[in-house]
Amino acid sequence: MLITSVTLTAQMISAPGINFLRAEYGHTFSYTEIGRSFTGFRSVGFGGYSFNTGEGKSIEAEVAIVNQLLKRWNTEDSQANIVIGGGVGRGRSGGREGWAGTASVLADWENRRWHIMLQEQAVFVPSASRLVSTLMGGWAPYLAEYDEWAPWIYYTVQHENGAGVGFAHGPSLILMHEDLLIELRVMISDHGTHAEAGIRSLF
Amino acid sequence: MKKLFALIITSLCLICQADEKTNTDTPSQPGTVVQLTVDGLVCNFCATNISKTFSKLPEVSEVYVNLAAKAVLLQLKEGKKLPEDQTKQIVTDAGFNLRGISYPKDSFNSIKENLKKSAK
Repeated sequence: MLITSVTLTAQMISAPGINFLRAEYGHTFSYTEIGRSFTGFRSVGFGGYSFNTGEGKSIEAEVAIVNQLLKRWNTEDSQANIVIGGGVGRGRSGGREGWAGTASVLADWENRRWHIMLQEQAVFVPSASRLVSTLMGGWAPYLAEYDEWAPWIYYTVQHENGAGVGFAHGPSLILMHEDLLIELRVMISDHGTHAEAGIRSLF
Repeated sequence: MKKLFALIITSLCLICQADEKTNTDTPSQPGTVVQLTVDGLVCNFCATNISKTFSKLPEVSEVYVNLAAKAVLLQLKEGKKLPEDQTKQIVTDAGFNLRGISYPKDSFNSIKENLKKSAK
C-alpha cells in the first residue's frame, strides 16, 4: 500500500511578498497549495491533500502550513538550505474526522548543474499517519538562462512508513521557465509503475 | 577661403549628426543603471525571486537577471536613486548575498545584450 509523492519545498520559501501555487497529481494522491512568502524567510500556505492507498485506506486533509528557512548558505556558484515546516488543519481517515498536522524538514544543495535534496515529511490525521523520506538528485543537461526553458533530469528514491510501507523510485523531468516549473515523473514500486505530474509557479 | 571654411564646418556638422544617428543606443546617465553581482543566484526561481523583488520598487523601471554572470541589472527611473545600503538590504532580505555593485555608463540594453552573449 505504498503512496508516492515528491515535493521540492525548498522552493516554497521565496522573497518577501511573492506568492506561490503548487499542485501535484499522481495515481494515489493529489496536493494543491497556495501561499505567500514573508520577511524572515517564512512562507504561509494553505494546502489540500488527498492520499489513497488504493486498498481502501485513504487520508484527506486541509492544512495551513508555515515553512521557515532555518539556514541558507550562498556561495558564488551554489546555494544550500535547511527548511522546516509544520501545519495544522482538519483531516479524515477511515471514516474518522478530526485535527490534522504536518511536519517536515528539508536539506538541499544546488548549483547550476546539480541539485540534491533530502526531505522527511509526516502527516497525521485521526487514526492514521504517513511518514515519507525522500532523496532526490538532479542534473541539468545544459545551462539555460531563466528566461529560457531549462530542463532538469532527476532520480528519486522514497521510503514510506505509516499508511503505506515500502520503497519507490523513479526518474523525473523538470522543465523550468521564469516563474513556472513543470514536473513529469514516473515512480516504480512493488505496486506498479505510475505517472505523476506537478506544477508550481511564483507570482 | 570663406567658402572652404564654411564647407569644413558644414562637413563636420554632418559627420556629427550622422554619428548621433548611428549611435541610437546612447549611454545612460551615470547612476541610472545599476549592476549587482549576487552570490547564491543559481536557479530559475532564485532569478524570478530577485527579479520580482526589484520590479516592485518604485525606483526601478526594468530588471534583467543573468544566471551565468550572477548579475542583476537594474534600470532606474529618471531622477531616481537606489542607495547602496538599501540595495544590499533588499538582496539580503530576498535570501542572497550581495558580492558587488557597480554603476556602468553603458545603457541597460547594451549591458543586457553583452551579458546574454557572454552566457552563450
